Amino acid sequence: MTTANNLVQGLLLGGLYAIFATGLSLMFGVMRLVNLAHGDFAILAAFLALVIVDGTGLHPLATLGIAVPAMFVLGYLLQRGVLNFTVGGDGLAPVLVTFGLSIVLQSLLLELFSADSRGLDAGAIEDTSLALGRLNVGWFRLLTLATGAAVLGGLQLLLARTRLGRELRATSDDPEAAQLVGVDHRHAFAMATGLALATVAIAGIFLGIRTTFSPALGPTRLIFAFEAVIIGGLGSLWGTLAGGMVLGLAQTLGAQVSPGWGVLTGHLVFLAVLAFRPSGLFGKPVTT
Amino acid sequence: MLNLLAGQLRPDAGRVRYDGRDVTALDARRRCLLGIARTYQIPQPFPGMSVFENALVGATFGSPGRSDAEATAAAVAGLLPRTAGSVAFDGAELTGVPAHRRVALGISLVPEGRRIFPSLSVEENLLVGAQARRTGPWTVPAVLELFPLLAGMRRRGGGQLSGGEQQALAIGRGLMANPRLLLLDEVSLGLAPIVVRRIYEALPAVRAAGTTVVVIEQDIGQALRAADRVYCLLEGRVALEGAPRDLDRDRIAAAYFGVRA
Repeated sequence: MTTANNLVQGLLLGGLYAIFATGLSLMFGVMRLVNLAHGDFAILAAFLALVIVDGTGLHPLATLGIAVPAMFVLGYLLQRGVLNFTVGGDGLAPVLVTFGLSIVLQSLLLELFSADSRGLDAGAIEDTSLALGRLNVGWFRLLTLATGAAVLGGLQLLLARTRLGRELRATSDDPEAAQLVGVDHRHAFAMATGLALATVAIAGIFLGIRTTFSPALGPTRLIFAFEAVIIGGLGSLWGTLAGGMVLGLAQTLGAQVSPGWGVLTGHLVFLAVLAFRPSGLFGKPVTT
Repeated sequence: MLNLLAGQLRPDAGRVRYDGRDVTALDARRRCLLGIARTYQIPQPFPGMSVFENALVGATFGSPGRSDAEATAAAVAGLLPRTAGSVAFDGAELTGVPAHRRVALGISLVPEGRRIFPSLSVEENLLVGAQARRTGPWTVPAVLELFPLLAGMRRRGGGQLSGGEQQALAIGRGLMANPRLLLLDEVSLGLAPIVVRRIYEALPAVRAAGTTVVVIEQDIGQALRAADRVYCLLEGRVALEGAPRDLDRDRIAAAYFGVRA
């Protein structure tokens, strides 16, 4: 019984990891940039939601309507103003800059909100659950998974069907050739970062409702997102969802054996995938 | 020659010397340490850029680096942004204008090696070519009519095309911007003669639709047949210029190799 319950919980947790991982995957896919501050932006969004809730009394889920566009704009400006100057070089510059950004964000949040753990209270939805036979599945966790699938599906549609999507894929294939057909690659990069921060804002707010958060939590979240991307396979959005679920399952089942083993089991599964299937479960084989 | 000295090309026989030392065995990086660095010679914007009507012949005899003609095309398209001197198009200054905005001004470069987007389908490659939102005669159906070999493969991935299909698609992608000036870099490189002929057969229709076509071509015969005007560039200058009927292979070869007739 516990195992069945944990299986379901693990899959649902995977939905949250998938939302975290999407933006990381998108930024890497479009401009080969690993954003080490990705997790910190999620925490930033959670604190932003907290401020909105405290200030206006809005429901935490309603703050998505403000926080997501705000993070999109922040991402766009960050790319245009800072990160665009780091891409295209030897690959070290973006790592150093986003690492610095991560530290700045953590210190800033610590300064503003102290090191205390905070939470977003979503009220009834957190406590009610759907009875499936003898299993109880929390509505909020179901909503998280549905949101994850919707975010990934929406992004997939955007990339496959729209003018912006074509622009992003062309830039990802060959930035110079994209300029030759009239694509402003700096704008395309900025749109990618905007979208990435918009998705990570959703992840941060869902995280804030699900559990408590504090300024230093970002790097842990980054590692989970990174593992979900690698397990699923780079460049495959549905792979990212699957990767998130595999990671969620591993962590939940590991924790069933012993509470301390959850995160460790996730890391071990990640390492096993890296060792035996480095292109990920759904990624294309790596060719160079 | 420069490529040999910079270490980008290995001599089949003989030695390369620099400053009294034998540098034949050193790789490019080591040679840089000796003070030999290859800088691409950007041709000075030569007199008469605005009179370019239809063709440009570049010297690319086995040289893996950029020839003068290619560097000129790249400078016009905005890929070599910081040139000494300036580049003008239709009387307007282009220096400092980024490549993607030059497309909006009506300049399209079909790059050497085609550079098709592999993860986009044939149709998407064409659509992304219309990114600059210039209107004109060239649309997806018009391009497919111009290159019938693409017609049956709209949904095929850009990475699954043959060389000739890629070249047709690259030209079609360039046309989708409805350019006033279409620069074709090394159209025939690596293609079968019959495919090259088919590509060249499409060019009169492009010109008839009002686009100036500049072809950088190492196949002199092909260039002489297709062009109204031929330019030979040597060391950043126009070494020879004229209508094809006034030129012949010997004069062009002399202009390339710097032999003064």
